[in-house]
Amino acid sequence: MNEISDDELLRRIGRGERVAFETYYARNAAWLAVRIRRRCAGDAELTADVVQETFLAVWRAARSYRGSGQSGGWLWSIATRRLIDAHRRRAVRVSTVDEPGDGAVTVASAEEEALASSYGAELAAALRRLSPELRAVMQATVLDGLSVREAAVVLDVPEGTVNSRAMRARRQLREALS
Amino acid sequence: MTTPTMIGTHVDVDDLVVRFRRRTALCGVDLELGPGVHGLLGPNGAGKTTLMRVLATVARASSGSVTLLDRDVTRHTELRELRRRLGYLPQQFGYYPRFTVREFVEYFAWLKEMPADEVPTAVDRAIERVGLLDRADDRLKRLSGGMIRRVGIAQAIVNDPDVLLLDEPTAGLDPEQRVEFRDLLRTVGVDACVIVSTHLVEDVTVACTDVTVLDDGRAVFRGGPDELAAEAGEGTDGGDSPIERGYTALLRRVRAESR
Amino acid sequence: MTWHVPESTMRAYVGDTIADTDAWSIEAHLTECERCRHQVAVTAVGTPTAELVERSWSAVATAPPGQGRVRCGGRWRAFVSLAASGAAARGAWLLAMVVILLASMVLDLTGARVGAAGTGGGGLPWLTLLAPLIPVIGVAATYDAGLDDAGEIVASTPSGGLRLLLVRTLAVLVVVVPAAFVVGLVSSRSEPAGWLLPSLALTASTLAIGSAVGVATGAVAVMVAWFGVVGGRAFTARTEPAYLPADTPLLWLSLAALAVAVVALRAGAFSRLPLQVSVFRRREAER
Repeated sequence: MNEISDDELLRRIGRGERVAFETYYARNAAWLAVRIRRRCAGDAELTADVVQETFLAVWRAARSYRGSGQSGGWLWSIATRRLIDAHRRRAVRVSTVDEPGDGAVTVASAEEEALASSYGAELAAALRRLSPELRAVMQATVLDGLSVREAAVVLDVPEGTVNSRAMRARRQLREALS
Repeated sequence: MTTPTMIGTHVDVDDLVVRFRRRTALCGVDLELGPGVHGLLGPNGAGKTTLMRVLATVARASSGSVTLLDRDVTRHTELRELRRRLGYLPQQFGYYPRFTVREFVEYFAWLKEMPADEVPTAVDRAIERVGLLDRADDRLKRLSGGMIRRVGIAQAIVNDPDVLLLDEPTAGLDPEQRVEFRDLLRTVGVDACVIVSTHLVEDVTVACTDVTVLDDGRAVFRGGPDELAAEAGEGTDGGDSPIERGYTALLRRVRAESR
Repeated sequence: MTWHVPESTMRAYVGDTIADTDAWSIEAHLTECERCRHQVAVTAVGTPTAELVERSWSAVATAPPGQGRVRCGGRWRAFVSLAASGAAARGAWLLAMVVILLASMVLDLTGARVGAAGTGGGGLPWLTLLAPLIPVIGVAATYDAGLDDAGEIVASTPSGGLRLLLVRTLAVLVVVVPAAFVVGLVSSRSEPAGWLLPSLALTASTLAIGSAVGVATGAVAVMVAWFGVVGGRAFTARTEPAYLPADTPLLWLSLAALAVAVVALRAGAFSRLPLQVSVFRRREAER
C-alpha cells in the first residue's frame, strides 16, 4: 500500500475503509505528534489526547477532503482546533498555571546551520536572537496560522500580550534584516 | 489562567434604553464584559430577553450605545463583520424538523460565512462538543427537547464565536446534561465572552465568573456569585442556598427602595 | 519537491534537540512534503514518539465512531443549504404553483382569455396574467421572517439578510421559470416573453418594496398593483391593452433595472428587516 498517496487514502477512508485509515494513521501520526508536542511544552498526555481526537475527526470527516496534495495542511488545521480545545480544557482545570514553558533552546549544530542556509542565514540568525516569548508568538501566528485569540489560548497569555509581542518581534526582525 | 483581555472589551453597553410602544423594557442599563462566563439573572419579565436580543443585534436600542467587539452595532458595514463572530441561542427557537442535526448546524455555519473548506470539520466539532455525534444524521423531529436544545447550542458555537449569547440554555436539559453543558460553558469562556441569561440561580452559582441581576429593566447588581450570596446578610429565609437567599434579599431591598 | 530534510536533522527534530527556528523550517516543509511527513514516522521508530503513537492508536481503534454523512464544503453546497432551509410554507407554495400553472394551462387550452377582448381572439392569456405572480408569492413564502421558524437566529447572522433572500429568490425562479415554460409550450398560447419579463420585474420589485416594508407586505403590494394595472386593463379594454408585457419589453426591463438598483442601494436594510416582523413574536415571549 506504500505507493498510494495520502489523498487517495483519505478518499478510501471517506468510503469507510478501515485498512486505509490504519495506513494513514501509521504514516501521519508521528509527525503530527511531534509537532503538537512542541506546542504544549512536551506534555505527552495532552499530545496523545489531541492526536486521538484529531484522527477520530479524520475518520468521520475524511469524505469532506477534496484537495490534491494539501492533506498535510488539512490534517494540521483539524489538529490545531483540537489543540486549542485541549489548552482551553486545561485552562479550566488548572486555574493557576505557572509561566508558559520556555521550550528547549539548544546550541545550533553544523547541520542546523546548513539547514538555515536554505532560507537565509540572516533571517535565521535574526529569528534565533528573538527571546523565547517572542519566538513562541511568531510560531503560533505565522507558522501555525492561529488568530491572535487562538494564540493567546495556546500560549496562555492575554490577547493584548500576543499583539504587543508580535509587534515587538516584527520590529526586531525588521531592524535585524535592514 | 491569566484572563485574556481583548484590546477594548467584548461587550460595552452604555445607558441602554429599549421601549416598545407604551412599555419600557430596559431603562439605562450599563454593562461592560470581557472573556469569561457571565450570568444574567432576573425574574421573568425583567428584560433579560430584550437585552439578549439587543446584544444579538436582532433588536434595536431606543437610545444609548451598544459596542460589541469594538464595533458599533448601528453601522451596517461593521455589523456584518461583527455578526460573523457572534453566537446566539434564543430562548425559543424554531427549527426545520426535516433537517438532520448536521444539516441544521451546517446551515448556520454558512449563514455565518465561515470559509467553505472549514465548514465540514467545524460542524463535526460543534456536534461533538454538545455530545450529539451519535445522532448527527437523525432528523430534528426525532430528537427530544433536551437534544434540540443541544443542537441549538451547537449552531451557536459552530463559528467559535467571540461573543456567545445563550438565553435560558439549560431549559429542557436533564441534570447530567446540565453538568456537561456547564463544562462546555467554562471551556468556551476561557477566551470568549459568554453571556448566559437564566432565571435559575443554580446555573449561575456553578458556571459563572460573575453575575448581573436585572430587575424591572434595570441592572441592580454586578459582582461575583459570592458577593451575591453576601447580600443575604444574616437572613436565613428566601431560599435553600446562600446565593438564592442573597438573590431574594437583593430583590426585596431593591423593590423596597424604588417604592 | 527536490529538497528533503536530511536524516540527522530529522532525528534532531523528532528528539526535540533542535533550535526553534530550524524546527520551523522543517515544519513549514512538512506541511507541503508528503515524503518527509512519512519519513518522520520512520525516524521515530524506537523513540517515545513512536510509543505515544502506538498507545494512541489503540484508543482510536477501540472507539470506532460512526462515519456519518459528512458533505464537502463549497459554493454549491452553501447554496443548497441556504435554499433548502426555505420556510415551512414551501410545500404549500409548491402546491399553489402547480395549481395555478395547471389552471392557466387548462383555461388557455380551452381558448378562454382574460378580459373583454377575449371573445375576439384578443385579450390576455391566463398564463401571462398569473405566472409572474408565482415567484412573488414564492419569495415571500420562503424568506419572510414571520414564516421562517429559525428567523430569530437567522436575523443575527451576517448572511441572514440580502444574501439569503437572493439565494432563495434564485431557487424560486429556478423552479418556476422552467415549469411555466413547459406549461406555455403545452398550451402554446402565451409567448414566454409575455410572462418572463414581468416575472423578473415583479420579483425584483417585491424585493425593492420589501426593503422598506418587509418582503411579505411587498409581495401583497406588487400583486395588487399587477392585477390593478394589467389585469384591470385587460378586463376593461375593448381592444388589447396597450402595455401588454409582450409588446412593451423595454418598460418591463426598465422596471426590473430600477428595482434591482433600489435593492442594491438599500442592501443594508435587509440585515435589519426581519426584526420588524418578529417584534410581535417578541411581545409574546416577554409575557
